[in-house]
Amino acid sequence: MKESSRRSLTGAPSSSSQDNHIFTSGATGTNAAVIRGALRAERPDLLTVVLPQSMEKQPPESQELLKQVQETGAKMIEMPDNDDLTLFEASSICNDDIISRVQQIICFAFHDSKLLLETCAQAKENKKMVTLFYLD
Amino acid sequence: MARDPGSIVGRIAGVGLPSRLPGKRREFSPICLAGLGPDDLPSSAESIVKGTGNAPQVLEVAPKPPSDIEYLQELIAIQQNGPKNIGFFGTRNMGFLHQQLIEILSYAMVLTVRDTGQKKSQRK
Repeated sequence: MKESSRRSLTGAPSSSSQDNHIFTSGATGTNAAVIRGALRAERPDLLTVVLPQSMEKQPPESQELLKQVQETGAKMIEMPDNDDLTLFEASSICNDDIISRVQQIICFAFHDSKLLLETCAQAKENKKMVTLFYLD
Repeated sequence: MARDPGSIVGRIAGVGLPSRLPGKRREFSPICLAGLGPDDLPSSAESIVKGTGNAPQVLEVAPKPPSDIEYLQELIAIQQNGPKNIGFFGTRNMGFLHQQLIEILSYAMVLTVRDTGQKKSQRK
């Protein structure tokens, strides 16, 4: 696992213990929207992006946003060890990692989003507070 | 146009519901898909005299009530009211408006400063 973090270029105040910290992954859709929201708040210090594989394995449309994440100084965690795994397996490991770092989960899924629903079930088993929004 | 609510409900729910109880009228509410109200259930007296065999059956299963542990966890979470690490997961396939909503939620969560007891005492 490779963690990279640079000092904020925006001059935002440093993270204090009274702020919420957002963890998400680097995919398009939900993850990208979450990243955009956190960056828009100009608090990259309160954002951590956990990628299921290395940066190079991310789709081109995500890479642009992820580069922006790095430039703003938000923390990005890559998992190059999982490059040989399928995206499903790597995502599952990535989701487990995120669950272990948080107290609360917010998820946007469809009723047939297998991995996401499994992730929520696992988070509940781990006594995390889970809020699940169904888009269908 | 007068329609038999029983048959509509039967078609929606996929079951043949027993006909309306005699002497009772029921207004069909399009909001309630099951279409079953208190008037459809036999009274206590009717249950004793006629039995419950004709009582309408509802297919919907009542949601499982949260366990005591879940209640306690939520109470503790409310009491703590401190900063949280929040994980966001979600599908890749969603419309622009859904993405906008999520973006605003994330934005708000980052900007929300949790009101801890320490801050309250500082203000006094």
